[in-house]
Amino acid sequence: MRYLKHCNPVDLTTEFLASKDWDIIEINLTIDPIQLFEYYHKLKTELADFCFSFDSKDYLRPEIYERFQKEGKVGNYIGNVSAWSVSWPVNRDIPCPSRFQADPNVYPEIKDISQMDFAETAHPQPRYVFGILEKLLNRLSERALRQMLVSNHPAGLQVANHVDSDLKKLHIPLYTNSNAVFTFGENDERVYQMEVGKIYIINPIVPHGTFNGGDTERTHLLSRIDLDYIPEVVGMQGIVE
Amino acid sequence: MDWKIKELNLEFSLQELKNYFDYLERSWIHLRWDADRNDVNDSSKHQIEGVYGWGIQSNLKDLTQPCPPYHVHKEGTQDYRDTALMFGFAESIKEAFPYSRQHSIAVHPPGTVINLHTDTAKWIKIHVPIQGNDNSYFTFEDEKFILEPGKAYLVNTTLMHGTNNLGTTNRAHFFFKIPADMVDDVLTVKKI
Repeated sequence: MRYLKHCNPVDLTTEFLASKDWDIIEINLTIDPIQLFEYYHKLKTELADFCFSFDSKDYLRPEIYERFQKEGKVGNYIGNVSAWSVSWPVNRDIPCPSRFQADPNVYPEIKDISQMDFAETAHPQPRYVFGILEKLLNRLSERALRQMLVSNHPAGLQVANHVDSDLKKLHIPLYTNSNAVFTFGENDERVYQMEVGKIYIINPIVPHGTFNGGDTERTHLLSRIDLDYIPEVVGMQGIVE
Repeated sequence: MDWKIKELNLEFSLQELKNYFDYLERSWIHLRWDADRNDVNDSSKHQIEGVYGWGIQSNLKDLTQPCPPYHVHKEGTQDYRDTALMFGFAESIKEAFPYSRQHSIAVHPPGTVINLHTDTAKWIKIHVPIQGNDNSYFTFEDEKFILEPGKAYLVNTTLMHGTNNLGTTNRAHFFFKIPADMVDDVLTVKKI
């Protein structure tokens, strides 16, 4: 079994969690789906000006922008994504792209910063801390919600099969459809669908990708979770509401 | 080309390079290639015990598998593609030298010796030291060169050359290849 559900935290040893022997952990704690939708709706309306995409010329490193305009893809992203960088080292009143795509001339705070320093200094910007996100921070703490980003995949977007760093990622769907899937395995042979109201931890060192095969967008809150904090989160029960 | 090593006029942030390397050391072990694994074609009697590194571009079919920083893998082809490691400093290098390929990092522990050899005449290597020591150097039969972190160097790999790390600390280099006929162009790149 590579999709873990209702697991006993005791079984989740550091050795196992650091291995390639699992794809996804679904945790017991759930979230009120209505409040997730309300959060998503506010992002799309009141905070729309803080959303970046590969069309955000003024904020991206020039070569990233030019590559997307020319090829229609950047790295593993085949198509345009948009996102809100919730966590950032300083509070910004402009959209913040992901760390390695942001133009350091616009964001001097990320110049020459190490991954460790970025992870430790990036905190939720105040404008995003309201509603269900504020409740999630209170319940899970930043140990499970580091480097938060709300990522929006339009219909048809594919993220090609790849591996990421070993930092474990937490996914919380805000808005999705039944044809938006995660695939795991070298040949994308294991297909999983994530539901609004649930919290998932993915193992990014296992080859994986995504495909939004639906007609509507797929929007997830993503974060990094400390490896040694995973058993405690897995042991949580109840609903965040 | 009768020169052995040329220092580039390239300005870059050594700290950014060190950060990139530290990140790979810390969080990208699953893409790290280790020479001690038995998956290489090597009959050259180099002393490479403990050598490791990352192929930032890979010539393997599966980009999610560790790729050696040298063209030694049994499955290797001449088709190099970006891996997930092509970001940050590595991506800046690729943008500054768009004709470059085989971006890699290799770490040579103390005692590593790459014997004198020549590589293809079609490609020249650029080395960007991350860390080294006074007893780690390139050899060219009758001459040795100590490469310093913070600088970038063209290395004429078409001549007989090798490396020694006779020091007590690891030697780590970021390096990549450029077409041999692009040497003059490389020397005009001032900054990344």
